[in-house]
Amino acid sequence: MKLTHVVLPAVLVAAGALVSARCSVEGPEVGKAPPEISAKAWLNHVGAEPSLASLRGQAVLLEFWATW
Amino acid sequence: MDLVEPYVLQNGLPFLVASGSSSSGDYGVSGIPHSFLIDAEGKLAWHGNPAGLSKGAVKKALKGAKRPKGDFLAVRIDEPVDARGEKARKLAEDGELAAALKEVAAILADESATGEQKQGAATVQSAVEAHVALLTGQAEQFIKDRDLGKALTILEALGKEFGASETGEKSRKRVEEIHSDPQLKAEMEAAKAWTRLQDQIRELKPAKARPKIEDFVKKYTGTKAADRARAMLGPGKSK
Repeated sequence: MKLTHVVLPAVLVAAGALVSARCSVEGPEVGKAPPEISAKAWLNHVGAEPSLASLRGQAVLLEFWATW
Repeated sequence: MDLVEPYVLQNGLPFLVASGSSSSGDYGVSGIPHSFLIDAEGKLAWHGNPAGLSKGAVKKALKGAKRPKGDFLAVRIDEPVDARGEKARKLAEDGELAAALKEVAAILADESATGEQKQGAATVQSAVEAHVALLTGQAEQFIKDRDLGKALTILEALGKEFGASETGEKSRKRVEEIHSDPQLKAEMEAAKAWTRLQDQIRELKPAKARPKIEDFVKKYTGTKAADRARAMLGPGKSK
Protein backbone atom coordinates (compact mmCIF):
# COMPACT_ATOMS: atom_id res chain seq x y z
CA MET A 1 0.00 0.00 0.00
CA LYS A 2 1.43 3.34 -0.92
CA LEU A 3 0.89 6.88 0.26
CA THR A 4 0.27 9.50 -2.37
CA HIS A 5 3.01 12.01 -1.75
CA VAL A 6 2.28 15.62 -2.68
CA VAL A 7 4.83 18.40 -2.30
CA LEU A 8 3.81 22.05 -2.15
CA PRO A 9 5.97 25.16 -1.75
CA ALA A 10 5.82 27.19 1.44
CA VAL A 11 5.04 30.82 0.77
CA LEU A 12 7.94 33.11 1.73
CA VAL A 13 6.61 35.34 4.44
CA ALA A 14 8.49 38.57 5.25
CA ALA A 15 10.05 38.43 8.72
CA GLY A 16 7.77 41.13 10.17
CA ALA A 17 4.64 39.41 8.97
CA LEU A 18 5.68 35.98 10.24
CA VAL A 19 4.62 36.60 13.82
CA SER A 20 1.20 37.91 12.90
CA ALA A 21 0.78 35.06 10.38
CA ARG A 22 1.38 32.53 13.15
CA CYS A 23 -1.16 34.23 15.37
CA SER A 24 -3.90 34.79 12.84
CA VAL A 25 -3.88 31.53 10.85
CA GLU A 26 -4.57 28.38 12.80
CA GLY A 27 -3.62 25.12 11.17
CA PRO A 28 -6.20 22.46 10.45
CA GLU A 29 -7.23 20.27 13.39
CA VAL A 30 -6.44 16.60 13.63
CA GLY A 31 -9.64 14.63 13.04
CA LYS A 32 -11.16 17.31 10.81
CA ALA A 33 -10.97 17.75 7.05
CA PRO A 34 -8.08 20.04 6.07
CA PRO A 35 -8.44 22.81 3.45
CA GLU A 36 -8.34 21.99 -0.22
CA ILE A 37 -4.95 22.53 -1.80
CA SER A 38 -4.39 24.87 -4.69
CA ALA A 39 -1.40 25.72 -6.84
CA LYS A 40 -0.51 27.92 -9.80
CA ALA A 41 1.29 25.08 -11.50
CA TRP A 42 1.53 21.34 -11.08
CA LEU A 43 4.88 20.28 -12.44
CA ASN A 44 4.81 16.54 -13.01
CA HIS A 45 1.26 15.22 -12.97
CA VAL A 46 -0.40 13.28 -15.76
CA GLY A 47 -4.07 13.92 -16.49
CA ALA A 48 -6.27 16.13 -14.35
CA GLU A 49 -4.73 18.44 -11.75
CA PRO A 50 -4.46 16.83 -8.34
CA SER A 51 -6.70 17.99 -5.52
CA LEU A 52 -7.59 16.50 -2.15
CA ALA A 53 -11.08 15.89 -3.52
CA SER A 54 -9.74 13.87 -6.43
CA LEU A 55 -7.43 11.97 -4.08
CA ARG A 56 -10.22 11.11 -1.65
CA GLY A 57 -10.06 7.43 -0.70
CA GLN A 58 -6.26 7.40 -0.76
CA ALA A 59 -3.95 8.28 2.10
CA VAL A 60 -2.11 11.49 1.23
CA LEU A 61 1.11 12.91 2.62
CA LEU A 62 1.21 16.62 1.98
CA GLU A 63 4.59 18.24 2.41
CA PHE A 64 5.39 21.95 2.47
CA TRP A 65 8.96 22.85 1.64
CA ALA A 66 11.02 25.58 0.00
CA THR A 67 14.24 26.06 -1.89
CA TRP A 68 15.81 28.28 0.71
CA MET B 1 10.17 28.97 -8.13
CA ASP B 2 12.40 29.10 -11.20
CA LEU B 3 14.60 26.50 -9.55
CA VAL B 4 11.83 24.05 -8.90
CA GLU B 5 10.47 23.19 -12.30
CA PRO B 6 13.80 22.33 -13.95
CA TYR B 7 14.76 20.26 -10.89
CA VAL B 8 11.52 18.29 -10.94
CA LEU B 9 11.67 17.65 -14.67
CA GLN B 10 15.37 16.94 -14.50
CA ASN B 11 15.09 14.30 -11.84
CA GLY B 12 11.83 12.52 -12.66
CA LEU B 13 10.59 12.69 -9.08
CA PRO B 14 8.13 9.96 -8.05
CA PHE B 15 5.81 12.30 -6.16
CA LEU B 16 3.54 15.16 -7.18
CA VAL B 17 5.08 18.63 -6.98
CA ALA B 18 3.37 22.00 -7.29
CA SER B 19 4.70 25.54 -7.46
CA GLY B 20 3.09 28.88 -6.80
CA SER B 21 0.74 27.76 -4.06
CA SER B 22 -0.82 29.77 -1.26
CA SER B 23 -1.92 26.64 0.58
CA SER B 24 0.80 27.00 3.20
CA GLY B 25 -1.14 30.02 4.47
CA ASP B 26 -4.37 28.00 4.65
CA TYR B 27 -2.48 25.32 6.56
CA GLY B 28 -0.91 27.73 9.03
CA VAL B 29 2.59 26.65 8.06
CA SER B 30 5.26 28.79 9.65
CA GLY B 31 8.28 26.48 9.79
CA ILE B 32 9.37 24.15 7.01
CA PRO B 33 9.48 21.40 6.17
CA HIS B 34 6.06 20.63 7.57
CA SER B 35 3.93 17.67 6.56
CA PHE B 36 0.28 16.78 6.89
CA LEU B 37 -0.93 13.19 6.81
CA ILE B 38 -4.49 12.85 5.51
CA ASP B 39 -6.32 9.56 5.89
CA ALA B 40 -8.54 7.77 3.42
CA GLU B 41 -11.61 9.58 4.74
CA GLY B 42 -10.07 12.95 4.01
CA LYS B 43 -9.42 13.76 7.67
CA LEU B 44 -6.16 15.11 9.04
CA ALA B 45 -4.45 12.26 10.89
CA TRP B 46 -1.17 13.91 11.88
CA HIS B 47 1.01 16.90 11.12
CA GLY B 48 4.50 17.99 12.00
CA ASN B 49 8.08 17.76 10.87
CA PRO B 50 8.36 14.94 8.32
CA ALA B 51 11.19 13.41 10.36
CA GLY B 52 8.70 12.82 13.13
CA LEU B 53 6.25 10.80 11.06
CA SER B 54 6.03 7.31 12.54
CA LYS B 55 5.38 4.08 10.66
CA GLY B 56 2.46 3.50 13.02
CA ALA B 57 0.79 6.75 12.03
CA VAL B 58 1.24 5.91 8.36
CA LYS B 59 -0.17 2.41 8.82
CA LYS B 60 -3.19 3.85 10.60
CA ALA B 61 -3.85 6.39 7.87
CA LEU B 62 -3.56 3.68 5.22
CA LYS B 63 -6.38 1.66 6.83
CA GLY B 64 -9.15 1.39 4.28
CA ALA B 65 -7.21 3.41 1.73
CA LYS B 66 -7.36 2.66 -1.97
CA ARG B 67 -4.23 2.22 -4.02
CA PRO B 68 -2.97 5.46 -5.55
CA LYS B 69 -4.97 5.86 -8.72
CA GLY B 70 -2.67 5.31 -11.64
CA ASP B 71 -5.65 5.85 -13.88
CA PHE B 72 -5.01 9.20 -15.45
CA LEU B 73 -7.68 8.41 -18.03
CA ALA B 74 -10.37 9.09 -15.41
CA VAL B 75 -12.42 12.24 -16.08
CA ARG B 76 -14.15 14.25 -13.37
CA ILE B 77 -17.50 15.57 -14.50
CA ASP B 78 -18.97 18.02 -12.00
CA GLU B 79 -21.79 19.40 -14.13
CA PRO B 80 -25.21 17.82 -13.61
CA VAL B 81 -26.02 15.06 -16.08
CA ASP B 82 -29.50 13.74 -16.83
CA ALA B 83 -30.37 10.30 -15.40
CA ARG B 84 -30.01 8.65 -18.79
CA GLY B 85 -26.47 9.99 -19.10
CA GLU B 86 -25.43 8.62 -15.69
CA LYS B 87 -24.06 5.42 -17.17
CA ALA B 88 -21.85 7.36 -19.57
CA ARG B 89 -20.71 9.65 -16.77
CA LYS B 90 -19.76 6.73 -14.52
CA LEU B 91 -17.82 5.11 -17.36
CA ALA B 92 -15.92 8.36 -17.97
CA GLU B 93 -15.13 8.72 -14.28
CA ASP B 94 -13.81 5.16 -14.26
CA GLY B 95 -11.52 5.98 -17.17
CA GLU B 96 -13.50 3.82 -19.62
CA LEU B 97 -13.54 6.59 -22.16
CA ALA B 98 -14.29 4.61 -25.31
CA ALA B 99 -17.27 2.95 -23.64
CA ALA B 100 -18.45 6.33 -22.37
CA LEU B 101 -18.37 7.81 -25.87
CA LYS B 102 -20.22 4.78 -27.21
CA GLU B 103 -23.01 5.37 -24.66
CA VAL B 104 -23.09 9.03 -25.59
CA ALA B 105 -23.35 8.24 -29.29
CA ALA B 106 -26.28 5.92 -28.63
CA ILE B 107 -28.18 8.64 -26.75
CA LEU B 108 -27.46 11.28 -29.38
CA ALA B 109 -28.53 8.95 -32.19
CA ASP B 110 -31.80 8.11 -30.44
CA GLU B 111 -34.55 10.15 -32.09
CA SER B 112 -36.82 9.70 -29.10
CA ALA B 113 -34.25 11.10 -26.65
CA THR B 114 -35.35 14.32 -24.92
CA GLY B 115 -33.47 17.61 -25.13
CA GLU B 116 -32.27 17.15 -21.57
CA GLN B 117 -31.00 13.66 -22.26
CA LYS B 118 -29.09 14.88 -25.29
CA GLN B 119 -27.70 17.78 -23.25
CA GLY B 120 -26.45 15.36 -20.61
CA ALA B 121 -24.84 13.18 -23.26
CA ALA B 122 -23.18 16.21 -24.83
CA THR B 123 -21.80 17.25 -21.45
CA VAL B 124 -20.11 13.88 -21.01
CA GLN B 125 -18.84 13.95 -24.58
CA SER B 126 -17.22 17.40 -24.18
CA ALA B 127 -15.63 16.40 -20.91
CA VAL B 128 -14.11 13.25 -22.41
CA GLU B 129 -12.89 15.05 -25.50
CA ALA B 130 -11.37 17.83 -23.42
CA HIS B 131 -9.60 15.29 -21.26
CA VAL B 132 -8.16 13.46 -24.28
CA ALA B 133 -6.92 16.81 -25.60
CA LEU B 134 -5.35 17.54 -22.22
CA LEU B 135 -3.54 14.21 -22.14
CA THR B 136 -2.38 14.51 -25.75
CA GLY B 137 -1.04 17.99 -24.96
CA GLN B 138 0.75 16.67 -21.89
CA ALA B 139 2.30 13.88 -23.94
CA GLU B 140 3.68 16.42 -26.41
CA GLN B 141 5.07 18.52 -23.59
CA PHE B 142 6.76 15.47 -22.09
CA ILE B 143 8.30 14.74 -25.49
CA LYS B 144 9.58 18.32 -25.63
CA ASP B 145 11.00 17.96 -22.11
CA ARG B 146 12.50 14.64 -23.20
CA ASP B 147 10.58 12.76 -20.52
CA LEU B 148 9.73 10.00 -22.95
CA GLY B 149 8.71 7.43 -20.37
CA LYS B 150 5.75 9.59 -19.34
CA ALA B 151 4.88 10.50 -22.93
CA LEU B 152 4.78 6.84 -23.94
CA THR B 153 2.73 5.92 -20.88
CA ILE B 154 0.05 8.38 -21.95
CA LEU B 155 0.13 7.56 -25.67
CA GLU B 156 0.12 3.80 -25.16
CA ALA B 157 -2.82 4.07 -22.74
CA LEU B 158 -4.77 6.18 -25.25
CA GLY B 159 -3.93 3.77 -28.06
CA LYS B 160 -5.16 0.83 -26.00
CA GLU B 161 -8.30 2.59 -24.76
CA PHE B 162 -9.41 3.90 -28.13
CA GLY B 163 -8.57 0.84 -30.23
CA ALA B 164 -9.38 1.23 -33.89
CA SER B 165 -10.84 4.76 -33.66
CA GLU B 166 -9.10 7.90 -34.93
CA THR B 167 -7.83 8.81 -31.48
CA GLY B 168 -6.37 5.34 -31.03
CA GLU B 169 -4.71 5.38 -34.45
CA LYS B 170 -3.21 8.83 -33.88
CA SER B 171 -1.78 7.78 -30.53
CA ARG B 172 -0.26 4.60 -31.90
CA LYS B 173 1.23 6.52 -34.81
CA ARG B 174 2.88 8.94 -32.40
CA VAL B 175 4.34 6.04 -30.43
CA GLU B 176 5.84 4.65 -33.64
CA GLU B 177 7.27 8.07 -34.49
CA ILE B 178 8.94 8.22 -31.10
CA HIS B 179 10.41 4.77 -31.49
CA SER B 180 11.71 5.51 -34.99
CA ASP B 181 13.16 8.97 -34.28
CA PRO B 182 16.89 8.36 -33.81
CA GLN B 183 17.34 11.18 -31.33
CA LEU B 184 14.37 10.16 -29.22
CA LYS B 185 15.48 6.55 -29.42
CA ALA B 186 18.86 7.61 -28.07
CA GLU B 187 17.08 9.43 -25.22
CA MET B 188 15.17 6.30 -24.30
CA GLU B 189 18.25 4.10 -24.37
CA ALA B 190 20.11 6.59 -22.23
CA ALA B 191 17.22 6.76 -19.75
CA LYS B 192 17.15 2.95 -19.46
CA ALA B 193 20.92 2.81 -19.03
CA TRP B 194 20.74 5.53 -16.37
CA THR B 195 18.16 3.58 -14.39
CA ARG B 196 20.41 0.52 -14.54
CA LEU B 197 23.48 2.53 -13.53
CA GLN B 198 21.67 4.08 -10.59
CA ASP B 199 20.86 0.60 -9.31
CA GLN B 200 24.49 -0.41 -9.73
CA ILE B 201 26.00 2.53 -7.91
CA ARG B 202 23.46 2.60 -5.10
CA GLU B 203 25.69 0.51 -2.84
CA LEU B 204 29.00 2.04 -3.96
CA LYS B 205 31.01 4.68 -2.17
CA PRO B 206 31.10 8.07 -3.98
CA ALA B 207 34.75 7.55 -4.98
CA LYS B 208 33.85 4.30 -6.75
CA ALA B 209 30.60 5.61 -8.22
CA ARG B 210 32.05 8.80 -9.63
CA PRO B 211 34.11 7.33 -12.51
CA LYS B 212 31.14 5.20 -13.57
CA ILE B 213 28.95 8.27 -13.73
CA GLU B 214 31.61 10.20 -15.63
CA ASP B 215 31.84 7.40 -18.18
CA PHE B 216 28.08 7.42 -18.53
CA VAL B 217 28.01 11.17 -19.14
CA LYS B 218 30.65 10.79 -21.85
CA LYS B 219 28.87 7.90 -23.53
CA TYR B 220 25.41 9.45 -23.55
CA THR B 221 26.35 13.08 -23.89
CA GLY B 222 23.55 15.23 -25.33
CA THR B 223 20.74 13.26 -23.70
CA LYS B 224 18.60 14.23 -20.74
CA ALA B 225 19.86 11.19 -18.83
CA ALA B 226 23.40 12.48 -19.24
CA ASP B 227 22.26 15.87 -17.93
CA ARG B 228 20.83 14.17 -14.86
CA ALA B 229 24.00 12.17 -14.39
CA ARG B 230 26.16 15.27 -14.76
CA ALA B 231 24.03 17.02 -12.16
CA MET B 232 24.80 14.19 -9.76
CA LEU B 233 28.50 14.86 -10.12
CA GLY B 234 27.93 18.32 -8.74
CA PRO B 235 29.71 21.55 -9.62
CA GLY B 236 33.39 21.54 -10.56
CA LYS B 237 35.23 18.53 -11.75
CA SER B 238 32.66 17.09 -14.18
CA LYS B 239 33.99 16.44 -17.69
